[in-house]
Amino acid sequence: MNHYLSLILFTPLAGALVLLLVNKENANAIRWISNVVAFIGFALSVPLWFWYNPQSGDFQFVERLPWIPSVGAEYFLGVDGLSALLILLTTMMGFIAILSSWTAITERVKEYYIFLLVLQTGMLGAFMALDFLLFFLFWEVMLVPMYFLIGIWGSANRLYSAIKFFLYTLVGSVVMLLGILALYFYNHTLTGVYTFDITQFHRLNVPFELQWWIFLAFFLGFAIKVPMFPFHTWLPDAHTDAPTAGSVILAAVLLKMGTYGFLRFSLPILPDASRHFVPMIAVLSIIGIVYGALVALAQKDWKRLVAYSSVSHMALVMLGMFALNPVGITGSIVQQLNHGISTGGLFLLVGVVYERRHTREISEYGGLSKVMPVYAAVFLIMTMSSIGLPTLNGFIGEFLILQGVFVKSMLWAAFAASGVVLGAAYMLYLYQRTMFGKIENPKNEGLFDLSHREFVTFAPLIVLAVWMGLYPTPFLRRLESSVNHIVVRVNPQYAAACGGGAPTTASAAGNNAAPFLAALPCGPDGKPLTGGATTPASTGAGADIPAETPAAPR
Amino acid sequence: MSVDRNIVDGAVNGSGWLTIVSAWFSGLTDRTVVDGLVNLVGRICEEGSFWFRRVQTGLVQNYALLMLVGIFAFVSIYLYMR
Amino acid sequence: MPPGLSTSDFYYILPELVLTAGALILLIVDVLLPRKGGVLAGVTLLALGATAASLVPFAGTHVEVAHGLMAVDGFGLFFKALFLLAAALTVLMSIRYVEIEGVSPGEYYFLILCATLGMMVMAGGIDLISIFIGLETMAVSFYILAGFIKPNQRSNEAAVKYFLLGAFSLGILLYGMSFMYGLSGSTGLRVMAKTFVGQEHDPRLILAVILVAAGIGFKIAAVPFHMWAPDVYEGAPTPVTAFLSVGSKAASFAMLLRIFLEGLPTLNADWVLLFEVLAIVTMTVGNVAALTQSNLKRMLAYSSIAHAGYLLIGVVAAGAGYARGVTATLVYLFTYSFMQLGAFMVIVLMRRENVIGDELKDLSGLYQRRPVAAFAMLLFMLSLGGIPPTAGFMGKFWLFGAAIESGYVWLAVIGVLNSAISLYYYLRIVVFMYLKKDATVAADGGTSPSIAFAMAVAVAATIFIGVYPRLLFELAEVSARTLGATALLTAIR
Repeated sequence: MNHYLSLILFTPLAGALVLLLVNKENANAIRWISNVVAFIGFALSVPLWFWYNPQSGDFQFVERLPWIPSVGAEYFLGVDGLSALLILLTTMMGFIAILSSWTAITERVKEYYIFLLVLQTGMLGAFMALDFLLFFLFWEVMLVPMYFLIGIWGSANRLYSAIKFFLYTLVGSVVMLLGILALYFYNHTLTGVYTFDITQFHRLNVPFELQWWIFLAFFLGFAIKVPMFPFHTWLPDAHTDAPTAGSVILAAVLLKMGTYGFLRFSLPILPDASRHFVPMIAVLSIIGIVYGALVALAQKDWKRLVAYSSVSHMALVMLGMFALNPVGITGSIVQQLNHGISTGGLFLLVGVVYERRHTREISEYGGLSKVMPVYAAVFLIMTMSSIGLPTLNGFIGEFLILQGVFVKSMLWAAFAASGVVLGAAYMLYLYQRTMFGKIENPKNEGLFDLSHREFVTFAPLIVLAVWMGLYPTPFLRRLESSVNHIVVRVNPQYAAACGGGAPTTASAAGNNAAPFLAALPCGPDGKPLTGGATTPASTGAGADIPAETPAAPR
Repeated sequence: MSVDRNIVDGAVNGSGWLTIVSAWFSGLTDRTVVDGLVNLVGRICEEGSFWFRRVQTGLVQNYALLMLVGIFAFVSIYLYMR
Repeated sequence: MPPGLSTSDFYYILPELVLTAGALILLIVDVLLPRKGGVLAGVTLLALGATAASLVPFAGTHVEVAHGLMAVDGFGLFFKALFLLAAALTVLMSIRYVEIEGVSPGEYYFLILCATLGMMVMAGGIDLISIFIGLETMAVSFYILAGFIKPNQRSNEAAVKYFLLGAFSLGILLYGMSFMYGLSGSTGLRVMAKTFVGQEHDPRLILAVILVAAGIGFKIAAVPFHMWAPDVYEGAPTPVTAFLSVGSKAASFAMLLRIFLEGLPTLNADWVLLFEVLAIVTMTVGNVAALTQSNLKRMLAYSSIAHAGYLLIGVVAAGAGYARGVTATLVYLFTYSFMQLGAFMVIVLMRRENVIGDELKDLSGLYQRRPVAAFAMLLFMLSLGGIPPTAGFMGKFWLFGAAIESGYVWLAVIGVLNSAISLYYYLRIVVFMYLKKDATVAADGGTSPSIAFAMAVAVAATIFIGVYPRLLFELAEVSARTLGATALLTAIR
């Protein structure tokens, strides 16, 4: 299909335009239309899973049309494994979020769904865009609907949280724009061509001085989005005051924009600067992991607790990413998906209870498992996923990240592991306080368990959590080439010496364990830990690249 | 037995207590210091705004005077730089 | 030089002649059909349309007219088209407003046409004299227009302040211009450019540069010459404010680019720094001061000041020798016109029988009363703040791009941070419109078709340029290249 990506991209927008025509009093029609459109959007993206070719290292489903020739901007879309999975996450969570709002939103229903659908298009566009200006356009477009979602349908402090979210992320974005422009003009001085083509930038060799500045410019934009310590304080406010669907989308997808930005832009385009800043980012990430977890432990507001858990989890993601080896990066991406599933699920769970009791105070609850057993079960699964219990998805991500980080620095891995422990602490503490024990508060006694619709919003999440936990191979396989491409760019020594998990023919055949788990990681000295299939370089970097690895940076 | 209960378990509970204290402290820092810095930026802008409003007196003579002051300032900058 | 004008000269100033004729016809119609606002507006629009039509044959010409008094080139054409468009939208905006205020429509529209004429002469002039004539025509028209609502104290105050400070700054400007004439022996800008080569460090020239910059700084409302703007913007009738903030500013920037790029290009080492400082101070003061305003027109005045600051970034880039700076200024002026006019259109809509409608609280709950107007205002606010996919973003993208390309990275950083600051007060307007309930249940005047059409044009332009800016970019680039000194500039670089 020639315009497959555009189809996925514009379906939500088309839905929003359709909604404009519907009479705003007809809330039911609005709800049905938006849910159908969201479901169609998700269904349309499912083929992406099947049609994506894990062997090919190039971007797939590419669409390329001139947009502003005089500045070299194009309408350039394409996906690789990373963005394909993120797109699937987006469409799925978008549908779940819209489904979960059925009874929660009763005022200004039309605008609500329009904003959600426009937001959906913005997020999809950012993941698909391979032209920097186009990417930036979608990146910024996301801000406005989210602002309204928080500001209109949010809770008590919504105006403050909304403007804080908007301005905070905006400052990062506009500084990022300057980085983009610097890159754009540098490319011109080098090649004489004005272009925003990201694949072209991936091939550039930018001098370290310039890389340093551009990396910082990008860093501000992405780090605020992730959010990394100390740029994280917009998140608790935005999450707690947003309506449920807003929080779900914010946690599940919007935060991934930041990490996607690092993976797609900072690491491949600015490899030397990335390597240079690893210590700084590692320190910030570790602080984020531990500090985020500690603050979560101290929270009395349920949603705020989950928000801080997001800070902690995403910091772990960043740490894995900046280990700059295939295992770490793969773990980081997997954990991003996991976080979307588990934290999205956790916010949905809060939303369910909030709809019934209209309070987020943990102390108001207790013993809910007695009256809401199905809810308790779902909550338990999400909790365990968040903690990283083996057999669920969280374990895979955490394990891979820890493995990748351990290779880089045992100290860092130790801190990261402590983050896992703290994660268990606050999540189990939360679960205990809300689900176990006696029902102290009489208002909790009459609570209804999950309705069918609510259960449907959780079902895909549970299925995915178990699937990814028990059988992550299909996911890992699709990530391979993207990860390799990144590692080859950002850590060429490693790729040369350790054969960073190339897409071999072996992996194409059967469903054996992901090949790069078999391709042994290197120790801190850059040599493989045991003999292994690849021939290590005699000493250090720059040696012959073993046959399995991709031939050259694309 | 008492070793188990007092020392080992004491250490375990102690680390738990330490964690809770750190948690409380971290929460406080987040609310006051980190967020405080963010809000400080906003407050600075607001203060600046009030100051500029007060400069706008409404008197034409003041406006003209400020224009002249501006011109003088620019001339001085140039003299200083030559 | 041989005296007298030839017929070809008259041919080239055809658009200006058409506009003059149209204005005079309007006066006659006003005598015959006094106070018929609709008819008079129609005649005005016809005059503007005819002038626009008469511009068409000159697309692509590049000549000097009347012994170097005026130039007919792409640069001038771009601005003239912009002025006519702005004037037309202002007229559409004014029809109902004039009725409510009860002022004489004929004179009102006549003055708008005069102001437009002055602007067109300013854009085409390449001689100090012709620029000055255009400037004065425009300025005097605006002095009167600002005070047009005679019973209103604020309006009178605005007019008097504008006149006094305008005369004062004009004196400064003339003083600087006299230096330039004295030192070069000619009032023609292109002659001056050749004469001044090699005289870069002449202190008299530097003084002239500062004085001229100060005079122009007044007109574009750059800090510290901006203090008239909040009072005048607030007091003048809203459509006049709109036209002032768009047309006068654009014309003044045309004048600025002409004088400094055509007349003093080799002195750029001197005046680039000056404009850099002006840009930084103007942006910051404008945005910060707007943060705590509660009157919409005043807030938009400060916002307008800030936008002059952004535009000065383009001038700096141009002065550093990069033609992209000129293009960026042109693009931004174009996009800025639509969003600014649009924002004022919404304020004009708020004018009801007993409500002036220019306070922030008058916008409360607008999404309930007039959802379309609220959406339009949202779009204009986002555009002014520079959020994609609006025209304002495309304009800012060009400006910051030009700044980075010319090496003025810190200027771009400050500009970008200022954009972020500005969004706070732009969003505050959105908050009032969308997030607050409507307190008043006052009778609504309804939307006249003329202003609805004008708003539709502004909205369409804002979205269209935001999503598909190619046409505007290419047009601006072509126009920028015709600016006389652009070739000289690239030689300097």
